[in-house]
Amino acid sequence: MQPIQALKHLKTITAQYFSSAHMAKRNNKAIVYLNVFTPVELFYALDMVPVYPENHAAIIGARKMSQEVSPAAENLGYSMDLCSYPRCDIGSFVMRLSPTWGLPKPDLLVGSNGQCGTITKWFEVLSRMYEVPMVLIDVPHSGNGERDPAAERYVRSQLEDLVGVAEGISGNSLDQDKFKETIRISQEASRLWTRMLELGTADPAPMTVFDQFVAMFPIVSQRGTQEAVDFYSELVNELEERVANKVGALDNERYRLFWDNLPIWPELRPLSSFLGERGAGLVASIYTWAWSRLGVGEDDPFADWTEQYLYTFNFHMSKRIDMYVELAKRYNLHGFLYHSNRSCKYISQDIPEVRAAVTERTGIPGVILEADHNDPRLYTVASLERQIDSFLDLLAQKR
Amino acid sequence: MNGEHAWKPFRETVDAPMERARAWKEQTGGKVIGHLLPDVPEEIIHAAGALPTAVEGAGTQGTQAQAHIPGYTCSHAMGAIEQGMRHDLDILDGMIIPYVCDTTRNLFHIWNHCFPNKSNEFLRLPKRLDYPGAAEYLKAEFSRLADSLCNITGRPRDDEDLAASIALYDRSRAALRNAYRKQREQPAVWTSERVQTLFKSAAKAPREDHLRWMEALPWDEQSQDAMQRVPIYVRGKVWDPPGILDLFDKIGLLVVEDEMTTGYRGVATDAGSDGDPIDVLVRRHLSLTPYTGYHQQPDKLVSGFLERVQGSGAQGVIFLNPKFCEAAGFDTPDFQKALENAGIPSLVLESSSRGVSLEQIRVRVEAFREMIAEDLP
Amino acid sequence: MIVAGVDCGAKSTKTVILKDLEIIGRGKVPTGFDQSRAVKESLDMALKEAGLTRNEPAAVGGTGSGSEAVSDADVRVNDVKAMCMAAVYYFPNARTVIDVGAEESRAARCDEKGNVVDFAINEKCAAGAGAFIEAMSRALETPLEEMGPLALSSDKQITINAQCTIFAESEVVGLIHAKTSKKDISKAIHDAMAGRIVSMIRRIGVNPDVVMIGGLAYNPGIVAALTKELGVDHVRVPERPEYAAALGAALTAAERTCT
Repeated sequence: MQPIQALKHLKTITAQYFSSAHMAKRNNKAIVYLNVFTPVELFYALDMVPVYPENHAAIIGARKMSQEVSPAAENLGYSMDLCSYPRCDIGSFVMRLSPTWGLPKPDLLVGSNGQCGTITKWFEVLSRMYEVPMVLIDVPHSGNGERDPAAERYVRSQLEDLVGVAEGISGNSLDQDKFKETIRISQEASRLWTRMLELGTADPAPMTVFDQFVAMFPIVSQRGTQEAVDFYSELVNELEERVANKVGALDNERYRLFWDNLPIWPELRPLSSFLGERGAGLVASIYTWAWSRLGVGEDDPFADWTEQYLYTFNFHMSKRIDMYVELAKRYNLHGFLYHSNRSCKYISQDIPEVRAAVTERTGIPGVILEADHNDPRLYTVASLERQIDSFLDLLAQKR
Repeated sequence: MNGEHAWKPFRETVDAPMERARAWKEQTGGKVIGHLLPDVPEEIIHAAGALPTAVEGAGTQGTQAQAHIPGYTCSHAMGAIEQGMRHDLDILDGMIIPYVCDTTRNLFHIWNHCFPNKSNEFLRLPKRLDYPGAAEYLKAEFSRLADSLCNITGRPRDDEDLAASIALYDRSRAALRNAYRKQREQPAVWTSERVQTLFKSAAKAPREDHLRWMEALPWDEQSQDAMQRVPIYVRGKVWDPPGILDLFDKIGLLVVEDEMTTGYRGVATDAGSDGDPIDVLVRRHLSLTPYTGYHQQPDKLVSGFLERVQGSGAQGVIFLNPKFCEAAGFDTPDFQKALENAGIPSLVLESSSRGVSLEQIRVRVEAFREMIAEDLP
Repeated sequence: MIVAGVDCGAKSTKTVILKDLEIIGRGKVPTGFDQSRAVKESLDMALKEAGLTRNEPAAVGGTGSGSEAVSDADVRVNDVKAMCMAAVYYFPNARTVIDVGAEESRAARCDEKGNVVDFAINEKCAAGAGAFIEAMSRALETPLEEMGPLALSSDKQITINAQCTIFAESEVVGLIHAKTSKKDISKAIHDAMAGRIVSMIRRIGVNPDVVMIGGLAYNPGIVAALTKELGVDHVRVPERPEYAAALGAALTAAERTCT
């Protein structure tokens, strides 16, 4: 397995992002905490600095610090049954232990339940903890993706009102030129990210999904900045060259697999090697595809965001099944690894039905791996590896 | 004892709700619409000519649900699926699942996937109670629901029907409020367990019948109550495990106010008749005590709760958190801290059909009572 | 053709020797701390019973959580494959296989060749594994082998909320104090276990015939409870079910060596 060169920049990119966020706080710029699917372009145009607690938590997990910090949150009364992201984030704050020097104190929190209900509750806790206001963008998803004009009005008006709130907090008014410029840069990053994902359809795939998870940082935290565009330009170039030369992420790609749900952050490297050694290539995932549709147009970004919140992010079951069936064809998949993520009910609860339906429609088998995205106390790697082995055995006998 | 007889129809309803629904269906030929509680506007179902029947999952054991939804899901949702798989709910013509949380959202997907022949609706309740646009949105959503239900029953939509249903439900709510008050006045007769049976059965029987049965209750009965009862406030979703209210009665805890979905919260306010019936329902909905899952400014969520507790005269608070309920789990620490700062003791109990026994709860609750009672026995 | 199969499990290591697909020797030793030694002893024991020397088997298949310790294994066979191969060997119509080990339980669906079609593993819930019934037999002060027959003599339906062995134990103690008969408590324990196991099986669906292997299959109480909970006519149990995984490993070794 050859490492991807472009990924080497991530260490510097990440360090610079966090140090400039801390610096911005010292320079009295307004800090806004966001959940990952939010109109970040708006905040750049108000000269606010966006910070993502989810990203902070993921880094804690990836650096294997969860078991150190999460108990501090649990000691405050936050049950271990709750999502491990907020447990790690809150625990990290309490213990003053963080791989990013902590997070700068926010001036505003903006979250949406369109992504999940946990974000709402997490941000409510943070709002009380930091004593700063919170804005919830309430998104009433329809059960089967039905269009809902009243909901469109409701969501759009909340977004428009948000501008006023953010202006008040930041002390700036919305700079239309900066707004349009940020939107353009953001679109470009999304376009490059999407290109990266599409290159995964090549045989062999040039990059594993686990490496894509690692490469997510700029599109998540720096969407709207030139840094993200530069990083992904370089990455895409490298991948295109690989594809042209038929160089794969794996030396021997025997199986092409799909990873459902968030990664298991503390086990990214070990599982990656484990799968690689067995010729099991993770070529596609739903989590990475989520970032490909975040670009908006300059003409009426509020309409585009409303569309995204209400419809694009409405991950209802038949849409999900159709999407997986289509991805199976596009990526020429042999199997599905469904991460039943104890922390993430939103994505995990539909998995049993989705798995059965996808296999029925495509004949492609899937296995459900019970784990967690951030808390190693909730799974054992040995068991996951045994199950993956059993699954690969099943795939082998099918061919 | 002449006492039990009056409570019989309520118990029978709670023990076998689908039997009531079946009997009603045979009698009227109408449609039975199941719903999963929190704030589903039963008046709208009633006005469409259907029988609203609440489905409660907590307390249901079984082996089928986990084939369709992971085990880290609350008992209310898992139980609903279990009942569906066991064919306990075949009598239902449709099911309304309200948007409470991520679990209810997914539950709708799974339910609709497993029971596509039923008329299933996802009720898109807005969460942002203190945002003006929420009322407008809810109005549209309630109207959409009304249209959808009238489509199912074939009865044309009529504001007068809805106004009449609202009036009926207001009368029922008033009767239930009176019953709740009797808990304080005559706790030996109007025990917590009996009163909650009234509440539980209300959403599972034809409301007209329920109201009639309530008239036959021992409103005038007086009895000497020797037991010292300590007033408590309970915040939670459903009474789980079954038997917990009996336990409170026996130990001498009096639930003077609660925020349970089948509790006082649901009957505290009437809709009234001032205006368009949908508007009236929207106003009522937005005036309900926010249960965990609704959003207000975060410090207001805490201060509002504290005010309610202090206003109730309770000496202690019990949090009856369903296991795997994210919203309850996130609220509890700050809510407890606020109570502590105000000198009000509280106890957190986790409820689940799978794993938490009444015995374990007894030990904790008894210890809590000792702690908060002004006069120790 | 002579082949051997070794199942190095958490508690015990079992070996089966096959000659032309007939079982001619078996060996079983406690695994203990030294897995390699257990494998060697178990293999020696089986070879002795078969009257063979170490170099006579053409291939050795290794399976079980300690299968890495079967250093001589020519073929490493994963547990799920081994259980399916064994099931169809004994029962050609086997299509759903259950294996309840000491610490985890597994279910699989297979085809007529013993190929795995789907599977599920439950290692999180103690009440779905053998260690649970052992703990309960201690709580009831009843020998383990008597638990099953005791359960069969009851027709009561008592529910134990068995999410966790410790909770279940305290519920059993409560039932004992409430003067509930041992047979009724034993039945409740078996029903609770069956509930957890069936919950897992239902994730992959049930296709008759259903076969149960592993040591716990000796317990008629659990077989009866599973049969009832699954709603099938019968749950088949092979002879010497604790050796089934080792047999499956031997069969797979034979298959893979010949092809």
